Amino acid sequence: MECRATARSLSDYLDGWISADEARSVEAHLTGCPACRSLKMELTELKNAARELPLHTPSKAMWARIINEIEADRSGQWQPVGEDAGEGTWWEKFKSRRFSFSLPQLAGAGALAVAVAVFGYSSLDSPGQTGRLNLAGARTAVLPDEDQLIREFDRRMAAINARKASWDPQMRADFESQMNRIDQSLSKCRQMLNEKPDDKVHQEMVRSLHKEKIQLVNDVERLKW
Amino acid sequence: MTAKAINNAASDHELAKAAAQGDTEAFETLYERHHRRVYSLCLRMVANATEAEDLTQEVFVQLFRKIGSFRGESAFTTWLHRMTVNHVLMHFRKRGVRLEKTTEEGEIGELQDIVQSSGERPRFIDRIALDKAISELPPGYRSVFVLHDVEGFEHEEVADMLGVSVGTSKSQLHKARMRLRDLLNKKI
Ligand SMILES: [Zn+2]
Repeated sequence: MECRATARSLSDYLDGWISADEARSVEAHLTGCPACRSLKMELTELKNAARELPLHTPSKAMWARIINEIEADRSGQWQPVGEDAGEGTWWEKFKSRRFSFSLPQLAGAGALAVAVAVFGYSSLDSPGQTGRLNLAGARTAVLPDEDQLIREFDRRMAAINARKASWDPQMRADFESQMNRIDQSLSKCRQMLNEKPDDKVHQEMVRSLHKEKIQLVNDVERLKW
Repeated sequence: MTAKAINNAASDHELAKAAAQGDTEAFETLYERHHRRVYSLCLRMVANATEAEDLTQEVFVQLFRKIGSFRGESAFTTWLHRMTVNHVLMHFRKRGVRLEKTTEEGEIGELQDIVQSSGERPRFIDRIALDKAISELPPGYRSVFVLHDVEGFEHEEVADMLGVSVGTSKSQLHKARMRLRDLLNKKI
């Protein structure tokens, strides 16, 4: 057996994939050929090293992103309720709607203290401000795609504001308080991000809060208020 | 015992059953246990950290949706890793990455590679350097090497997942190993 053929058989030889006859002829060649013996050792070591590679760690915000998506999925399960179940049922759910991420999930992302700071801040005053990002600094984008999100939101919000006056007052108040809660959390997140612009967890929260606003607008549009 | 401590003591199978009932804390424990392996597998397959993060996220979201179909016949790890591999391969297909052919020069130099060997001393392979070298392989070689040598799948499974013959899987693996050896030797 020559070197070329031996080299070609070495992986199969090491993995136990060749017949006893072939194995014997590989071994016979190895005995007399230091170069192929060396190759065999290198491949063996490579095979062993491959089983002991270091593990890599993804970014800390990964779990927050995953649980956000899962929760968004789940809240999606009751959204189609709509007309069949009657507005009353839908309305109850609308009112009891929580943000799509909750404290334990954020704790999983290592941000419990921060989350308490954000969500402990839940006063629901000044309903008249709905839909306007009320802080002066609030329009500064903290995410690369945020300008677009805000534009999209503003466009749809303008249409809603135009017909809001004709809504039932209770509905309007509920809608506005929902929107306010999100806006308040959003400005808190922004303050955090102004101090630590690279904070992945807060970036993720801003993204989720935008989604939450869009979702709210979706709900309203679906009901054709 | 706190819920967290109970979860930490539970088996993957028990946690999977709880997660299937909507218990996100049980699911989080599964995530804590497995996310580094899943991420490392994705990272080695695609050789790009951003793509690997996206894929890992998608795998866990999909895992939550499908976890009710885990029956415990195989080990949870095996099941999860297979799901991960399938997801990465789907991603390759969507992006038009061809695995059955290697895009670079077809045959790997064989004879000169042997001659260039330096003595018979066993050489310690730096794991970090090997990890980096794997990322430099063409996708076809890389997939076979990662699945067979790193993840420990058998050739039949690798061939099945990649949609190639067992013979192709074996010859790709050998070429991948030879190429890695070249890459590692160059760096010394
Ligand atoms: Zn030889």
